[in-house]
Amino acid sequence: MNFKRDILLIDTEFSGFDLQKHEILQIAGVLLDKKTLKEKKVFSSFVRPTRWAGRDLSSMAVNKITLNMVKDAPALKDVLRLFDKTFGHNVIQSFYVGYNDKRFLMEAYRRSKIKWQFDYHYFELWGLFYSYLALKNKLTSSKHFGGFGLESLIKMFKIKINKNQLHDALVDCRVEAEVLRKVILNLGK
Amino acid sequence: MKFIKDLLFFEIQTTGQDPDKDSIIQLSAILLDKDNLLEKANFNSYIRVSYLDAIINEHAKLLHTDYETLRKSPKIYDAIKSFHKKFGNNLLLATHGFHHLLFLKNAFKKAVVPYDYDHHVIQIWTLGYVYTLNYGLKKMPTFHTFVDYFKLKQKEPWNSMEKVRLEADIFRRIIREV
Repeated sequence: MNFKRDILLIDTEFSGFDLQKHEILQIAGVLLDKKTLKEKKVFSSFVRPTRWAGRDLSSMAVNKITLNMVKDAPALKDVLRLFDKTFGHNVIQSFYVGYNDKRFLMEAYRRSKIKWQFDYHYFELWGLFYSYLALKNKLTSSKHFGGFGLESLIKMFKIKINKNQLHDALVDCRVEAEVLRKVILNLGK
Repeated sequence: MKFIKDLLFFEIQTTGQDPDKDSIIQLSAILLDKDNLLEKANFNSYIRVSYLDAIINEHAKLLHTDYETLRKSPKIYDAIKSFHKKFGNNLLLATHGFHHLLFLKNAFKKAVVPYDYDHHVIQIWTLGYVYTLNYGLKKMPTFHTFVDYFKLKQKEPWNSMEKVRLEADIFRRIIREV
């Protein structure tokens, strides 16, 4: 196994799904070595909100982020600069159901007037895991469709984790990394 | 192998790379059966962006078609309505990359048709890259890497219908050969 670049798993938590009204509240990244998939670097930071009053309460119930957790956090621009400095851009970005993460992240760079320098290719892990599970005949219930969220993956791939920590962006990245390792290992057999 | 829902592969030809400024001028899709991955239905439409002759001619050149064909093609509103009506929403979208999704979502917005697809999407580049991982790729793969790898042929690079069928073929081969 040898990816051409290290893999950067990214997860964000945001205050709702509307790009115009809501904002990123946490950014985390885990860099995996392109040959071994072992963790090389880690980043996690809350982001000081500028539109807290406009947050969507149902989204906040999922991410469980409180004002106390973010009120003294660095501003978005500083977080993005540090994120760029930590990982550089010669990576393959990876997201799990990344449509919203990627939209919010690109918008955050735009608003912060920081150039988006990442390659346009990225890994969408959900589709990979979904196809893998279909191959293994593990997709047995349409009730769970769309819902094999991370909780389901933890169970299916027997990943040891305190479930109360889920939806912390860094914890989610690490779960995704572990599932990715297992899928690639099994596909290589 | 068992997928829970049918898979709708879609492809687009656009006037440029910016989903906010550029427009879709061809929309193509094929629906694969969830049990056997065979093609169940398809959709292919050129899209007329303007009434101006010069613009129609310019887009006809991009699509390698003629002025008259494009002039008679539907506008985005009608194309999206037909697309949505043909397949419904009880399916899973599959495509090559993120920009395609942004373009599609913007097109639904322009057409004032609710975008009601599941937000889970299969992305072919990820599957292709992971599948070809152990075959000594010398550089980051592209769509053409996969076409070459599976010994497929792309005759009309401007034609999104041909491209979407190639993507579905790449997907089938990955799934069957793993």
